[in-house]
Amino acid sequence: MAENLLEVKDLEVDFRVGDGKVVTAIKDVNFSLIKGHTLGIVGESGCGKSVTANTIMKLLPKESGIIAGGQILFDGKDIVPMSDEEMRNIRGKHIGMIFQEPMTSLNPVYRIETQMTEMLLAHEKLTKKEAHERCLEMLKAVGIPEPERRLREYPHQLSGGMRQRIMIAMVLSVKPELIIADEPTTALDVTIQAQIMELMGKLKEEMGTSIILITHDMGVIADIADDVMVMYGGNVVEQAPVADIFEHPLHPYTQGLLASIPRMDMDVETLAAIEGTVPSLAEMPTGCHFSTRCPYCTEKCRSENPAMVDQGGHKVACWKYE
Amino acid sequence: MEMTAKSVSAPKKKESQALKSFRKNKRAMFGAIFIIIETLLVILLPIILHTDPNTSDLLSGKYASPSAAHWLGTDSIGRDLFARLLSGGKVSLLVGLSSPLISVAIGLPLGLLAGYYRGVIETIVMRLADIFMSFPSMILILCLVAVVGPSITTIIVVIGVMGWTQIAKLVYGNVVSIRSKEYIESARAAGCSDAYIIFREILPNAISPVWVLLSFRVGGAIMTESGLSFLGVGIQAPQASWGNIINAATDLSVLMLRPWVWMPAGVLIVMTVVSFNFIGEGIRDALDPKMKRVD
Repeated sequence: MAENLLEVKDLEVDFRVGDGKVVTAIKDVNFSLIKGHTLGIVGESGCGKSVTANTIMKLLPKESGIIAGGQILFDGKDIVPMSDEEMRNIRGKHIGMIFQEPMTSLNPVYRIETQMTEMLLAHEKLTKKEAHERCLEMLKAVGIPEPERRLREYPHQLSGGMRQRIMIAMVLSVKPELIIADEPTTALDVTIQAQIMELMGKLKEEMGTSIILITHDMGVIADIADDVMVMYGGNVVEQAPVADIFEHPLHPYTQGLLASIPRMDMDVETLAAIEGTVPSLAEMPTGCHFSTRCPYCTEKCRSENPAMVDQGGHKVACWKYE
Repeated sequence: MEMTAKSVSAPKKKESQALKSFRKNKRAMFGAIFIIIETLLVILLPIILHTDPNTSDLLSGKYASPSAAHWLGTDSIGRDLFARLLSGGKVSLLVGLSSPLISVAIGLPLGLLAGYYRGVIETIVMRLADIFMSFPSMILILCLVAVVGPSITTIIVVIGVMGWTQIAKLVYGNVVSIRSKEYIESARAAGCSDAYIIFREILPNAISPVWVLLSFRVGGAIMTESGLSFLGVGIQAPQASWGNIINAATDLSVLMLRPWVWMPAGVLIVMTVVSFNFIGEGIRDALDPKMKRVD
């Protein structure tokens, strides 16, 4: 079996919400990522996708976020007990992160070159000239025309798609083993989305980087992911290789998500939708978190949260499959 | 790994745009030119003309009318008022320009820390600022000067220290909004230290309103100094200051019959303060991110 780059075991993250109250944001999150693979994490807003990603980077809000339990093994080492100092060596150098909003993810007061070379020089021993060369090379790799000129420009002179390419170039320039992309294409228009995803797929192949891709877009997942993890209400509800998820979704939530993708080949009046909304963390039901919206909900679902069962590599947490 | 702080090429394009906009602003240019000329005159004229602000001219006597020997006449003990006006101007400009720097030196770092770390530091700094702001500052300054004793240094330090709250609150507000921007998050995700993020990522984005406030504070400091000197607790004799020159106008006969004694100092205070306020407005309009920045 191939080597695991990242293993997350029984991760639980809590948030302090004032008045000494604590809510659980994610619980019992278990997954592993094989070197060179792409894991897609899907779910609606508020499902714990971004919390999971930020926890791996240990970038939870200092005042309120607490890792309440579990392990995060990166390259075999548990990063949960690591100090901020140690984490700074991992962030950027070993785990890179691409954010959702390219319009604001570059500092408006610095030229592109300044931002890119600072990132490089912080993590690698290079001369200024070498750093400049590497920047040019990276900009070419992400398909930016006239890289020399772009390096001298400020973020506001570039389009959103261009900025996201630069973010990707910047993150990849130090060759991290893992990239966490938190909805990297959500803020871009559809044609640019496709270009960016294609680019990420290509770079992943070339550089052998592993990717955790967070999205609520099943189409993006189908394009690029090897494995899929579906999250709902802070729990992982289903985990399987990408083909299995699309061919036989087991969890009612996954089925709902897939059914709600608009299809070009069918003429329908109304789109399928999952009734209701994700309950807030404080109002999470005691049983299965999806029970309030599940069409198959039973008495048992309301009282007990189902555990993950493994059905030959396809894991699901639902009483239907117990 | 700590990112090394290096000198960074300033955003040239934006700066030249800001400069252009400042140049086009007539009032701001008037203010800037007035201050430059005034500063030059106050420094150079005493050297060129060998004026003597502190010696009584026994021949002309007290309250002499303007003449060739004494362009603005003499004061109550026969000192040349033109010389005193220049000497006082030097003091006023010195106080006006240096005490706001003290305010910035205290307020800027406190505002940055409070805005970035929030929590306990935020509470301490902001409540301290509230306490400072809730005192009537003139009375507090009067008490402080009475305790420490009046001198130019005391006046500069006291006015500077009293002014930190405005700077700190301004910077704090900016930092709070900047720290939630994604480029800060991505800097953190790139492994940058807190110090790097505060000084290299946040500070350049939070600094422009400080320049504006700084120039308004210069005007304010000159007024406070004049006020204190007028009240007799500011700059002490024999050193002249615009405030203590005007103090002569407390004598009704001077106020009514000899306007040349106090009028020039009064006009200069007004002109200087107005000029600095114009400069402040000019900087604000030139740097206003809402009007200039594309994103």
